[in-house]
Amino acid sequence: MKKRKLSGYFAVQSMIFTTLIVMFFVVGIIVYYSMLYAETREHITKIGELNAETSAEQIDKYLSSGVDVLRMTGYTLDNMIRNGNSQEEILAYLENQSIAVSNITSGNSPGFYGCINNGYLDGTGWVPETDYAPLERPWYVEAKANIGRVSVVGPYVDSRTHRNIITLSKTLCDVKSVIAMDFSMDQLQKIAEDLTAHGKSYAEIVLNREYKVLAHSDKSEIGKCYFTEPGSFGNALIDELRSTDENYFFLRYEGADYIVYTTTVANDWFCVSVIDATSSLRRLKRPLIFIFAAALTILAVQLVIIIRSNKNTQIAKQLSDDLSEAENAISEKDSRIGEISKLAFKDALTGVGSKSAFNRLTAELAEKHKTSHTPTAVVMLDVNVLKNVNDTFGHDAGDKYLCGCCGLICEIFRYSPVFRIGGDEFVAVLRNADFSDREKLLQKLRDACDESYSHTDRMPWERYSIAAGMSDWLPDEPDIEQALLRADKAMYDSKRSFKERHKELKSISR
Amino acid sequence: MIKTWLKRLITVTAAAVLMMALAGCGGSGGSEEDKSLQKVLSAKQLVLGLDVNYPPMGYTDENGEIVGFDIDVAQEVCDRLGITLVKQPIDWDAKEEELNSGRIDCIWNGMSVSPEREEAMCISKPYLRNELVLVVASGSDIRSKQDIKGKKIGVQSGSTTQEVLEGSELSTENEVLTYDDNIGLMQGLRQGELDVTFIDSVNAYYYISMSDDRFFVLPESLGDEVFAVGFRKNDKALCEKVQETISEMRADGTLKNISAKWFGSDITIVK
Repeated sequence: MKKRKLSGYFAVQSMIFTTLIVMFFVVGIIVYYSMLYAETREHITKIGELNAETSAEQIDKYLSSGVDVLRMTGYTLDNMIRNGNSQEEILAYLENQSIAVSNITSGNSPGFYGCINNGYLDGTGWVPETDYAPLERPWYVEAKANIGRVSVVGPYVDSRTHRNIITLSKTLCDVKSVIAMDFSMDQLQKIAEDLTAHGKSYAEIVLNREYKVLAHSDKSEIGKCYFTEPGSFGNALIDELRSTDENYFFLRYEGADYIVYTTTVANDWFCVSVIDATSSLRRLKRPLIFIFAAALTILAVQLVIIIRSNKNTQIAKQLSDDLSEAENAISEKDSRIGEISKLAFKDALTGVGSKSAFNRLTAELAEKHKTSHTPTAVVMLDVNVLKNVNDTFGHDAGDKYLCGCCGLICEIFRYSPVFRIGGDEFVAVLRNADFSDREKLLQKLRDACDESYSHTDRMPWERYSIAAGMSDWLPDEPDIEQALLRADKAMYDSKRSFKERHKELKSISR
Repeated sequence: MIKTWLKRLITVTAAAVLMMALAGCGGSGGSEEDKSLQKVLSAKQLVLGLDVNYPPMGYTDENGEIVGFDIDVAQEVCDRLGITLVKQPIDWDAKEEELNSGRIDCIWNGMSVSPEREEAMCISKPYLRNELVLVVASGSDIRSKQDIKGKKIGVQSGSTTQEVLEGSELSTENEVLTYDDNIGLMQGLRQGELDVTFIDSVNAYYYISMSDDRFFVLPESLGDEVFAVGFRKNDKALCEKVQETISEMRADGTLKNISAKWFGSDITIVK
């Protein structure tokens, strides 16, 4: 019982212990994978960053070539202005520089023009319309606004060449003069497309300060302003770009993961490299998800085992309860059986030993007699006139009569077992003191009966009369049977003499 | 039975906590309450400290009104927050004391960001770029930085230009004269008190463009810096709210329009 309870307790304990170990390992694995994930993410990011830097460098280099040429020309013009050179001299210089720059940039720029000392000068040979107002042109306004720095205007389509161009412009030393040059975006666009075509990135974008697309690996995006395109990828991109100070960020758009790198190029433009990290990150996420799933499964299994072990414990408890109940029932049955056996060896009416009890005793005595002989006498007793009482006064009176007689017998043979072996037959087995006094006791019984029967004033069932015959169990007899026969014979003699003394009884009974 | 369940519950909880701790899901700690924004909103006013001689960022115009690019932006921010803008002229040299004494809520007047200022104040994100340039009068024989030897150089006191100048060899080879403001500085140059001024490009270009006199900016820039708004070190909530409003103005084009009004184009660098 206790053992069973203890084993259940240990099962739960070991289950908790196992769970803890499993969880420890699961946590360990998760931590390891998290670190691995972070590291790999970092690795992907770094590689992307390197690519983005390379892209930005290429774009910056291209734009810088224009900016540098413009600055150099501006430097000379500053000196010419300070030296007080004439407009013709300045124009001649611009024309020379234009030829040079057109060659250096492989035709990406036709050359210089500007508004110098309040006059428009064009080194490219273009003659403006009479109503051309240079001070109102974006290249002039932007240069003035940008206070000494090279401003980038555009992009727009050049009306003469139909090329997608930008204009670089810058104020000169007197702050009021501005020098400018047009610069083709074709090269920039080619760089963006090449970078994407070589599989290094998902998209390469060059945005100006207004988040207008100057160059894009996808040509159809050029000219779009991402500020005014809510819901678009570009809009999501600049939303994130505006809110971060980092040079890269993760962007989730329509279920895909992107890493976006931004570098400022030229005059506050953004060079944006977008890497589609969906597959690489997902590949990383998969084992992590698997580990989580495995951990959950293990935990679930553990839980089920715990619940089931709990249920088993309950069942075991139930069983043990049932068993103890059964045991109780059995012991109860045993005691009842004892009771029954007791009843079986006892005469129900008189309470003395039954015929079975007598048989058992005689058997025991016979067994004992094999080794030693204890002096023993048997007294056969027969209740007289029982039939008369029964017939005349009913069985209740008969029973009373029988019990009264039995009581008398027991009183006389006080230290000896008395058995009822038939309807009106009793036997007493005398040993020890009662054996020694056997003759006296038999006489005492006869006297008592005579005395009782002589009370004619009593009710017939209160007038006890018992015929008795006694015999000793002789040492050479193996059992008590012979003694019983002799006692029985003696008892009949006694009975006959009683009947002869009371001949009137026959007539009564009839 | 209840005991064993309790035990199990504790075990599972402990394991979960362990897991979370190992996974690094720690919560963030609390911080001291910052009532700076609440204070300004309750008072229904933002007190802006400025040097009124710093065109075009903030200055007194011919009608005696304090105007400028910064003033327009600040006014728009205050309008959006539903509060009044109070323009409080200050001595630029004593701007930090003015701020910390609580007389003003912010310094918003083409204030250059420097590591020292970043340490002493809560600074917004930059909104404009500025260069430190050398300006000479039209008749000057100074063509470049190399020509400045044994000259009189003017600089505004308490400015980052003064700091940069004092850190360069120009201050040892030349006589440095300090002026209270940039208008005085340019006038000093015009009147011949100075051979050269070391000045913020934003201010110099505006002055030269507006002036009929001829000045020349030397080709070398001695430094590049950005302008931002300065708040008291602990007034993070106010700083963030102002920043947030400026970003909104950037997105809806208001900032661009204000910039175009003062500079002819959008030259702000707000993302």
